[in-house]
Parts: sequence; structure tokens; C-alpha cells
Amino acid sequence: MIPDPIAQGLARGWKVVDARAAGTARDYTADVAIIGTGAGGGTAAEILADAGLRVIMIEEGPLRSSRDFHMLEREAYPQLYQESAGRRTKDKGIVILQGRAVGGSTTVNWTSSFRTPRLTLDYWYERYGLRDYTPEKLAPFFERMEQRLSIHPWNEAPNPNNAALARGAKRLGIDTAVIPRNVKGCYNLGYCGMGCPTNAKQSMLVTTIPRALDRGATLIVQSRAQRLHFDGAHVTMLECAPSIRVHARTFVVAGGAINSPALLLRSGAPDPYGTLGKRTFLHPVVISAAIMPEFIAAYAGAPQSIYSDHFLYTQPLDGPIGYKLEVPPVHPVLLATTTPGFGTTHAQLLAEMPHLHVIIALMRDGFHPDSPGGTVGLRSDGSPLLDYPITPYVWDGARRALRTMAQIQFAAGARMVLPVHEDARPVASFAQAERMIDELPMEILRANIVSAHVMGGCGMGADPRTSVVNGAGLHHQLDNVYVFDGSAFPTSIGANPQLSIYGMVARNAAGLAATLAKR
Amino acid sequence: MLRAIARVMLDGALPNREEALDAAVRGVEVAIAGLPAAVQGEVQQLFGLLEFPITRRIVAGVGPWDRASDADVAAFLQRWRTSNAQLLRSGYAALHQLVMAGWYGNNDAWPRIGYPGPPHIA
Repeated sequence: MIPDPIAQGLARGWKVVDARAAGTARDYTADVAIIGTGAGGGTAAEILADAGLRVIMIEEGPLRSSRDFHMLEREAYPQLYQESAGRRTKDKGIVILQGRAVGGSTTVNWTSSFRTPRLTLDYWYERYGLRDYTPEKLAPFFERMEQRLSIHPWNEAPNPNNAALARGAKRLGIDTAVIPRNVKGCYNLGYCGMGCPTNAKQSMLVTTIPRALDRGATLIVQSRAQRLHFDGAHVTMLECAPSIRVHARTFVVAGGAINSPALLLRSGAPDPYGTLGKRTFLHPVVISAAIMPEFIAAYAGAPQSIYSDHFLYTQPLDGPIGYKLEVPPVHPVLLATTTPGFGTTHAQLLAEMPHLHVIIALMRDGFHPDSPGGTVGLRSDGSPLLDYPITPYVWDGARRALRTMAQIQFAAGARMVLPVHEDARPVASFAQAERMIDELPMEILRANIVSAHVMGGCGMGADPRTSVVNGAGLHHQLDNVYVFDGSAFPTSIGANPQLSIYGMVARNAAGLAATLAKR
Repeated sequence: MLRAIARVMLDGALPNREEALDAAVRGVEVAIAGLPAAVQGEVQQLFGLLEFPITRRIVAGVGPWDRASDADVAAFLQRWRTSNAQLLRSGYAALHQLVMAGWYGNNDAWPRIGYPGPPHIA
């Protein structure tokens, strides 16, 4: 039996409150209220609790742990993801995978951990005046979090799905490298996306949050942050649903991109330059499936261990959109919902599952005038909705990426390749694939576009006219509200964002702790 | 309605049609129940449109669901899937997502696709 650190902590007397339980207290007071417990909220909770501050964390999702993680999609998606892993953009064109549980997306991500690329930081420095965001100045914070979360390049053999990417790319002279992962004693199972059943993944759920709780922090779960109440430029109280009030000196907004800007919008936070919710980025993903002669079993083994940045760094940052290549895990529900078509054509493709090799291309949005990203707004019931129109600039990248992936898959020995698009069909040669991809109509709900990386919407910057918070994460117009999550990024990252969030928040939470100590 | 659509969408995927279809429809209902209120509302709207006789004929072009042939249902799905109207394509996408998730989350769906299920952890 695998020991469950959450069950043990609860037995030790952690202060965890279920907002939906009868008899729950309705008023709480703290030095710092942290809204959200993902990569940003979790990192901040540990640092602020270690500094001796009274911390309260508020989480919309439930507290689940290894004993609940049964590696079943039908359980994991409704319990651990926003909108049962089917969150979509306003026009339904993009499916968004985002966590919704204690630990946020870190509970369900695939563990890939990259430092923020130098080119991205250079761009922030130049365009957004973020003078402290250089690779050198951030290095100590990345190092600290890499150590804290056991981040290291995967040192076992890649599973066949990842190996096929490496092999195909190599034959074409395209560089690949090994992905650093935040795991300790990994069983190499392949079910990171459904919650790690062995606690090997060093998510916020098993690292920083337990530490903060051991230091006396309080965690309120199943409670949605509804509205911040203001007294001038000062926030006095957070109102949650079901009805709970949190009073604090300082509020850290860390609900993730989409939810963080939505909370500020619902609260009527000042937005003099109309920047709030704007510039929300997704790393829009296109997908290519291949049937390989060999057994792939992409459901088993570390899901992501090989990547290629060739198409990010062989062309200018502000030229045609670049893309990162990785592979996803392939499990029945994710596969069946993503595979185009229905009936026997669909069923026949699914029957190839053991031989399926899949590549994804993550497009680096936000670095070009034709890639302004999306806008977070509110539905009539106050729930958030992201409007992300896909521009021709992004569609051009989608087409190039589908071509690249097909080429790599044939080079790796694929029998058939299927670009994931409603109008595509499996083809047996790269020449056929190229002709077909050139003709595919690039429109939403024909091309299948997904995202697992939501960034921006409360962007950092030195100039309040083009940003929402400053480089310390402090809101430009509010004196005690900080944004500590991926929503503070002024562009997309160009890599899986978790370590970028950890590093930025390690820096800014330490800054906040120092500020509060002086008062 | 859901049953008629699932029967066609999952053609070739169901081991024992009637029982499996029950499981698929149950799976869809569970999936809908797990959605936030605003999204549930949209799904109810879509289902309402497909169930109300007049709109059913206009937007889906099929007769009563309990009498619609598989070919009629397939033609409707194909029209929506490839429609030039984004709204119809999004309706198809919602049906596809619900039905596929409803069925392939079941252990009974796995033998046909060679998925062994989660490993046993020692």
C-alpha cells in the first residue's frame, strides 16, 4: 500500500475546511489569503508560511490524493479538471485542459519542467520593461524550485511513443532533447494526467501545500472565490461561494489564467487601460496521429520525455509562429474525443490504439502583432469565458506544424499518418500527406485545436497602460493584491509553463514576505 | 434521441449493441451531470433543439428519433460535421465529445481497442 501524505497530514490535524460541509465556520482572518492552489498558489503558500505568516488557501476544487487516483479517465476528468476536461473557448474552437483540485494543474499535468526560454525573457525585458526577468537573475529561483521539486532530465529510456519522435526527428536532422520532469521515485506508469497514484510526481499537492499546512496554514476547499471587496485601492475581504468571507492584509490571486482575470473582472477591479483579461495565450496545439508497425502503447510509461525546439529557434521570434514538438499520453477517452469522424471509420482508427504514435505541436503565441491572444470575459452567471479567435497567422503555423509532424512520423517508419482534422484521412506517404495538408481548410471545428497551457490575462509590465501588474506581481491600481500565477505572463512561454510559474512566484513570494515583514 | 445518435456514432465500437448502448447513454448522462451549470445549460439547449419536433426537422432534418433509420441519423451527423455553419459544427462537436467520453470511459469499451486498462501497482 502506498502511503498517502494527505491522509497522514489530515490525521496530524491539518486545518482543512470543506466549504460545502455543514457547520463550517463562515469568517476567516489571515495575513495572506491565497486564491488557488496550483503552481502559483502552492509555491506562494510554502514561502509565505515559512516566513511565519498566517496563510489561508482557497481552492475551488476538491482535495483528492493518491488513494483516490485510480488511473481512470471517467473519474479523473470530472473530479480534477475544469469543466470535466472539456472547457472550450467561446466559439467552441479550442478545448482547454486545466486542473481544478488542490494542486491545480500540477496535480494532473504531465510533469514537463522547462526554465523560461531566454528569448522569451529578452522579449519581456524589451517590450514590457521587466528588468529583473533575465535568465541570470532568475537562475537562483529556478534552481531553488528544481531542487525543491526534484526536477531533472528523465533518466530512463523514453517510452516507444517518445522514442518514435526522437527517431523520426533524428533521421531528418532535427534536434531533440530529453525533458526534465518533477518526479521522485517515478514508477513509469503513464497516468500523470489522472493524478499520480504513487506520489512520485512532485506536484504542489504533495510538496509545498503539505509543508504550508504543517506550518499552520488553513486550506478551504470546494469554495469558489466570488468577489473581492474594496476600500479605495485596498482589498479588505474576499467573498466565496458557498458563503465564506476571508479577511486578510494581502490577497494573492493564483486561480490560473482564465480564473484569475475573471475574479478581478467579477469584482469590478480598476482597469483604467482596458488590459485586464486581454492577451490570454494558449500555446494552441495541433495533433498528428500515426500508425506504426511496432507496438507503441502510448498509454504506458512517462508520457513526455523527448521534445524538439527546432521549430522555435531556427526562425526569428517575431517571424512566422514557431512551435515546440512533444508527444501526449494516449488514453481511451482523450483519444476517442480527439479522433475525427464517427461510426466505423472512427472505430477502426481506435482499434489501432496499441500502434498509435501521436505528436503534438505547441505554437508559441503572443510575440507578433497578428497573435494578440484571447480575451477573458464573463457569462451572465459570472463564470469565465475565453474568447480566442484563431488568426490566419496562427493557422499558417498549424498547417506547417501538421506537415512537419507527418514528415517526422513517416521518417520514424509510420505505415499511415492522420493529421487530426475532420477533413483529413489516413495516408500512406509523406507526398500524399503534404498534398492533403496543403488543401485542408484551416477553420475551427474542422482542425482540432487543443490547449493545456493557459497564460496571460493579468500580464506583468512596467507600464500600467500595457499591463495589469508590475514585475513584483503587485496590481498597478490596488495596493494589496498580487497576481502569482501563469496569468501574469505578458506572452506565452514557448515551453510547458509550470517551472516558469514556480520560478516567478518563488521570486515574487519572497519579495512579498520581505515587504510584509517590514510593515 | 441520445440513444439513436450514440448507436450511429459508436457503430463498430459496441460489443453487444443494446447493453453497451445503455452503458454509453448512462455515461453521457453522468458526463453532463458533471458539467458546470452554464455548460449544462448549453447542452440542454442543444438537446431541446434536437428533441422539439419542429426544430428537429429544420436543423437536423430527421423524423422522430425512435423511428429514424441509422442512415438518416448518420446523414444528419455528417451534415453537421461538415457544415459551413460554425454553430452546427459546434453542435456536432458537443455530441461527439459527450458520446465518445460516455462510452470509452467504460471498461467494456477497452478490449476492442486493445487497451489493457490501468496497471496493477504492487
